[in-house]
Amino acid sequence: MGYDMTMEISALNEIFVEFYYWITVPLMFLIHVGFCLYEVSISRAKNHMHTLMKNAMLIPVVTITFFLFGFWIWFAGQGPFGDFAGGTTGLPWDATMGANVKDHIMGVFWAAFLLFSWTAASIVSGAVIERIRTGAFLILAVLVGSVTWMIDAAWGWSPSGWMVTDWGYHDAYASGVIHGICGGAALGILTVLGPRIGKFAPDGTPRDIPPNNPWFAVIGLFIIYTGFWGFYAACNLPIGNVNGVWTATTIYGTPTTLSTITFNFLMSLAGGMLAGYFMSKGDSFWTFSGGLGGIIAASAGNDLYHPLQAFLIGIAGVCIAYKLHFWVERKFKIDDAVGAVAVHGYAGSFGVIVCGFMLWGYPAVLDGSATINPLGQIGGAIMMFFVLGFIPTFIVAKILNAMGILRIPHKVELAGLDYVEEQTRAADSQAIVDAELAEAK
Amino acid sequence: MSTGVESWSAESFAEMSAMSPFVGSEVILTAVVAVVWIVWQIWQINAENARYDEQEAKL
Repeated sequence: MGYDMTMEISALNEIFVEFYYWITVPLMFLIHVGFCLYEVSISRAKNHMHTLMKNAMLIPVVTITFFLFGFWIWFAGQGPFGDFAGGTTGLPWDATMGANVKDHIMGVFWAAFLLFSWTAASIVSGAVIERIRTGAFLILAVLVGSVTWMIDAAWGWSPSGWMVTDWGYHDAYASGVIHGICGGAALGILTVLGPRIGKFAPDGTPRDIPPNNPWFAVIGLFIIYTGFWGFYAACNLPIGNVNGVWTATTIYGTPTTLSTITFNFLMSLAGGMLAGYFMSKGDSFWTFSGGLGGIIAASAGNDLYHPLQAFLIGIAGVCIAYKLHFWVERKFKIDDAVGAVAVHGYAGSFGVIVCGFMLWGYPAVLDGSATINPLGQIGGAIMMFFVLGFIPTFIVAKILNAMGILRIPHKVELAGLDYVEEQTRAADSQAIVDAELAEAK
Repeated sequence: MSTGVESWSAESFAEMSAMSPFVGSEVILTAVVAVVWIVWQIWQINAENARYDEQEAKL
């Protein structure tokens, strides 16, 4: 009895691809763990549980909406107004969206995209802590996590997306399609939401609201670095035949290697940390945020950059983002509690634009019908940060504000968002102590 | 009585695609889950508003 070797190898290849993506999912789960840890650590003690629950509850809300319609948008929306060429692919009733013996990969692929969606919403979450209502935030989380970022992924993060085929847009590890858009989205909300009470002195001078636990905030960022490896791996297709050569490819189907992205991830991280340390004169939060910003700045082209280029781009991106953060804070009275607009929005947009110059003339798609160019990247950065990032959240935040459900009431914000729980907990503890004392008598 | 798969035999398996029970109910399930999500979101906002009203009254 003989085996059909071709079938065996095909099966092994399929299982390898499934397992490869599956491993990225728990790794990316760590991004969310890190976000929760560092957001809570930065919030003041009176707001800890609200901060945690606001971020944690985006998990179920974005997950269910992503299953209902978010994933479908990526398949359906690759023309500027949607070409719906994907048919029912990605819709909840499609045969591949569940237990199906003929399809082994869709759920894993869905989960990899979903974890990007959590990250997208979580980036926004940090910027708005200590004054946004959970209900309003969850609506905005669905908007960013299951709608706008999926539109930008359909347009600019797919080999058939119109921004790729028409503009030559290139963003291999999501400088713009995740970080740029989320920075813009956070800024849109912050513009309507306003600063935390006490953030600005009466003369407009910004005050520093120090992290409650700077040490834990840094651990949170460390965990995000770890999860970021999963994000990078999930952005690749692990094995493909590119004109007769077996190699990993980007999501555009253009060649890269795990070796390349490993070099560049670490080198851009190193550049970002050095820059963050230099700019902040050794502040731990900005040093570690700088590491993240360095990776984000180089991510658009980290499939092809030389490691030393990734290092230098990481440095430049973080220096620009740091300067812009404090300029915008002073000039427009924007209170971005965790620097999310800077680290993700400014560094990401810079990364998209610089990629247009660095990779000018490279094929954006495998057949070379579109090439990477500065104009396409500048247009892409504007599209991500402003058109799909800032504008939708600004409009929805305005509506929520008009309905009176955007911001925490003034008195509650002053007392602390955990006031009720703390009072209840104290009363319960006292009741137990009283009961024990009574028993002892 | 079977809600879906009746056999894992080679013949059945070769023709099988969806394996979950009640195949064909997915559109109805989608509608139900969409309602659950929207109702939860509305309930959450109302509950949060009530909580802040109560808290403001105490302060």
